[in-house]
Amino acid sequence: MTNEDLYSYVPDPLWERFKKGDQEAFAQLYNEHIDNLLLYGMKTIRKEQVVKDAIQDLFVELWRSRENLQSVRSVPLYLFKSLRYKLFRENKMRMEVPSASIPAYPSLLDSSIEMLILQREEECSHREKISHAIRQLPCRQQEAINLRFYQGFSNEQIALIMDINYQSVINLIHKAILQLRKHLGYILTLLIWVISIV
Amino acid sequence: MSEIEELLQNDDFVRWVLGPDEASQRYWEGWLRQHPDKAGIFQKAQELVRYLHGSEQRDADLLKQKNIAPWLWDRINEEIKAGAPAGRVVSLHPSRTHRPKTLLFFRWLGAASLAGLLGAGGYWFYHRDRHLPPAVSPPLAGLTVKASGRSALECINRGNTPQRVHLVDGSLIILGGNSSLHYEKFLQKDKREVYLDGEAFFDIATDAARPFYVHARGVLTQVLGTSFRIIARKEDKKIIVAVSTGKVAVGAEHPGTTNKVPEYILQANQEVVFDASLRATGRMPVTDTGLVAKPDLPEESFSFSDVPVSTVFRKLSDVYSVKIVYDEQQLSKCLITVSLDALSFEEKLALVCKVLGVQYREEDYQIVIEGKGCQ
Repeated sequence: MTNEDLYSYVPDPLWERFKKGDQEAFAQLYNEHIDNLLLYGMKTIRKEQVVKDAIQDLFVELWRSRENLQSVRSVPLYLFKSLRYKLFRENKMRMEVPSASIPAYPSLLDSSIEMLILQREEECSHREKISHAIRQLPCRQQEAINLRFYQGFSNEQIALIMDINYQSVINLIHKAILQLRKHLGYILTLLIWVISIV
Repeated sequence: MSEIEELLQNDDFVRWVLGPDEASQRYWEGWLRQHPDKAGIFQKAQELVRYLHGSEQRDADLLKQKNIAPWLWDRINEEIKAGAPAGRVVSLHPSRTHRPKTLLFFRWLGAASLAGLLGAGGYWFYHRDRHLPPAVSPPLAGLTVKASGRSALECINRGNTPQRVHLVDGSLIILGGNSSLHYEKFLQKDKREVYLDGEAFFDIATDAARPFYVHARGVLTQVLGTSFRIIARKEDKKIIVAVSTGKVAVGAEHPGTTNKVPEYILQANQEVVFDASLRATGRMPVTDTGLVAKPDLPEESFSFSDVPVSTVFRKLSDVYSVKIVYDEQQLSKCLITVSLDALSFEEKLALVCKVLGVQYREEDYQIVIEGKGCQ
């Protein structure tokens, strides 16, 4: 990875306060990023305990080594990259597990009320299918989708986080979109068509 | 690479869809003017990004319900304090009850309010400072409730302070300033329906058999049990529906048509804005997270300890604007201790009657209590 992208001479003020030992700044860093880190962790490795342990280690180590940490340009980029490193260090087996055998992350279909509304609405059931289709994607594609379309990272930042080159990110996103189209077939076309005439 | 995908791979495009600002808005509007032939593709790409984001958002909301963050923060602090890694076996079986509440934990609570100014959770504080009423307000203070015909009620909030309106099904509506609400006292048998002019936050009790409808200046919102805000002020020339939890279906009610198929299904933290001619902007992530934060009005307490039953009936009658008829002489000596919080009107009434050993029935849009009571 190129250090230029991660570290900077324009330091993040909250990060600087934290480096000086400000406990409230530390708590604030945690509060700002914990939900996104948990979601990203669960998308990357679908084992809650592994994710929780990795995040716990990450923040404990951050606090203990705060004085020696560099200034960073993008705190989330730094945290995501560090978390990913920990997740894979602690879960080397993951790559060998085919995605189909991994129990699906708690589905959103568990509320009967939501189901009722869904059943009323044809279009909505299509959306549910797309949600389902995303969960069928290989882990790395899901990870890339989460980073790009939820966390809002650029392709270059995703390359840094996932430790792959820029072109590989483009390919991952490309494959994910192709896969979604394949899984969904006409539904996606229909959905897009319906949306475009509204 | 298809043209749609080119947009999906464009960082600036994705960034704009996820969080538009003035500069990017200008840029992409300009782009669209220069490429009118690509309008269709543009819209499809935009909708796909929103969809992908929405799908991830739902997973995020579900995960948040597990409330892992505070627990994990405690673990982190314990480990930092202990100066050595905490055993993983312990972390598999969290026991909040035996954990001493550390100073750092309270610090976290304080910091949470600061951090919150930036994050979604903390809008709450910002909101409280700006709009919220004094901590204690008597029931229905500032709210005018008028009978409208025999069976309907009209609640008008002429002040600036939000006011609670309790419906008999257990739903709570927080009516904004200068707003009014119109509904059937006992709601309907097959549906629940209210009419809003102005602004309100709805926290609707779940009842899958009776959908809840809100009519607001030509926009119909349909839910089964969820919370959301509607802003439909005449002077605004627009109508906003923003969802806090669950799902709602929203659509324009075109006069003369019976077509009630909702146009949009909104999920938590999504909104749709209609202009004066009821054209909608499309489904978007909420722009002002304050809209979807539940207003922090003090809870109405329905706990009674050794009070005359008339006090309980008066409270119920005040809060739900429903007349309760009973024989005061016969029941005047009955003292009652009961907690009715978190129950619907009917459940409250049933419980009180059970305690007293009396029956109630609904007659002519009133409640009639019958029986000897405690004597």
